[in-house]
Amino acid sequence: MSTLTDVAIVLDPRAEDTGEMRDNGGSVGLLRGKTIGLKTDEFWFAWDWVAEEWAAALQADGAECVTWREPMPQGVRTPLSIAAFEEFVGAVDAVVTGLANCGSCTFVAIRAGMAALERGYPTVFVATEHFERLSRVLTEEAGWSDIRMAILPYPLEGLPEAEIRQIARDAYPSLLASMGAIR
Amino acid sequence: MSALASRRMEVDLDVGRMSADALAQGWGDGLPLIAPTEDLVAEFVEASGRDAAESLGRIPPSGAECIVEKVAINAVMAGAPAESMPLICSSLDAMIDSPLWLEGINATTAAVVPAVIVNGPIRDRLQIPYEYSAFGGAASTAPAIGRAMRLVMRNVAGQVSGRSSESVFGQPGRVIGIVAGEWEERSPWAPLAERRGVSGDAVTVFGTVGTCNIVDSEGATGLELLEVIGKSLAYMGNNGFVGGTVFADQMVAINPVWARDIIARDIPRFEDVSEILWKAARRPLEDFPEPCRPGLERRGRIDEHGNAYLVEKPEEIHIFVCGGLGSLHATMFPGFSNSQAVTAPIEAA
Repeated sequence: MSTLTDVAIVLDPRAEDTGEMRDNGGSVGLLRGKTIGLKTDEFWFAWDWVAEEWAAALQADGAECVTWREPMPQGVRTPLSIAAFEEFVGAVDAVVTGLANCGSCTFVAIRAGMAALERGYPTVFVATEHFERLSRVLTEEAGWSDIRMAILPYPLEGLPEAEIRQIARDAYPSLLASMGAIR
Repeated sequence: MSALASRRMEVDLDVGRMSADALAQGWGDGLPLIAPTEDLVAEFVEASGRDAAESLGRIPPSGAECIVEKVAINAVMAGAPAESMPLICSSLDAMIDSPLWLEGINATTAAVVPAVIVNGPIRDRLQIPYEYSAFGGAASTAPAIGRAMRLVMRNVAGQVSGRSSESVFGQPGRVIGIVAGEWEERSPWAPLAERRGVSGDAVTVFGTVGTCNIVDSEGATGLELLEVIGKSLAYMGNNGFVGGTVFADQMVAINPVWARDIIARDIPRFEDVSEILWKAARRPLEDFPEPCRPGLERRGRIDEHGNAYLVEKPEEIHIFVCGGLGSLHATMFPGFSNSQAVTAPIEAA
């Protein structure tokens, strides 16, 4: 039991919790006739191959696909390139963003996804198994409590290309499920 | 000045018990803390020359507003001097929303931490070390100043190991930071910050995975020493060689004897020193295991001799002078993927 002389009143060093909660985005619904945007970046060959396989499968199911490879420009704060991003999402009905496969690239992947959610797009975040947790933590910090995710095995990078492409084809149904897409 | 708005908490007056409670509650770092009472925090805010409510920006990964009041609270807890608040705030300002890419640094699997290199008279006013054992060992205010920024990362940015930070190993600099000055008076070159466009009191923040010593006791010429330093920087596991890296600034501290008495003697122009170091910082592509080569090839990072180069341009290897006069050593600060150094003036209180 402490007494008045045993304690001090101090200021909390932690950031204030805004408690803001945001909408996790809707379902894609009927796939045919929709345009799906695939966001890639500079980090992983594996994700390039997965995105190619998924684009082919989506097109086979009647959707259009647009792939945007996010650059990592020098001399700026390596932000989401807003102008290029707006052009990208302006052409699509839903966004699939990846690949969360390390710490820093997870941030790049989710940044685009959060921007898509802010604009009201159905959005799926793609991560390898280990980085699902980080993806969820970082998006929860920003107010999204239960993002839609498609999960790929880990490790992925470094596997033979043919094996990665097969993994992508095997994972395609789970992508559709996470999108809430109907064939 | 705004009134201090943070939530008030009751803590144990005993430093050991308060620090243990803070650790258990998630706002300590395991070292003893000074109680951030309202009077002390107000003194630190005053010393910053800024308003308590001023935001230095949204700090990742939490995205919380990094307001001066929170910086002051954490600086008090760290044991930093109040007079260091302008340096701390300017450093954080340079880190947030900048080409340093704090988003990546704070979430990554790497051990990276923002180092802070200080130029200008403020070095002596704050007793920032730049001579012997500048990066650790010299008794100084630097560890407490660095710790203040690290507590901000923990408590405001929300960087928590194994949760929002994937850093596999971390490093000691993630507890007390890496803060040192440049020994400008013994350097043959203009100060680092001045060469980057900022004269006087300034900070250069730079994401590094750690400090690593480079020793040489045989090199007798500037060319030989720069070759040793450059080839040391170009070690295979440097982030600059990782496939997903588009760019990764590097930094090197050269001791005053090597810098002035050997390198500048042999190579008078700094631009030539920088170019020679850049050319030395490469290694044969065939050294790399086959799966590691396509990323480098895709980025066109192979010269006409089949060497992979570490960075695109000489100015992406930052050079400054500090350390003792025993010579024999340089220190390299390997960089982090897609992260660049940022130099900013220290705003006076």
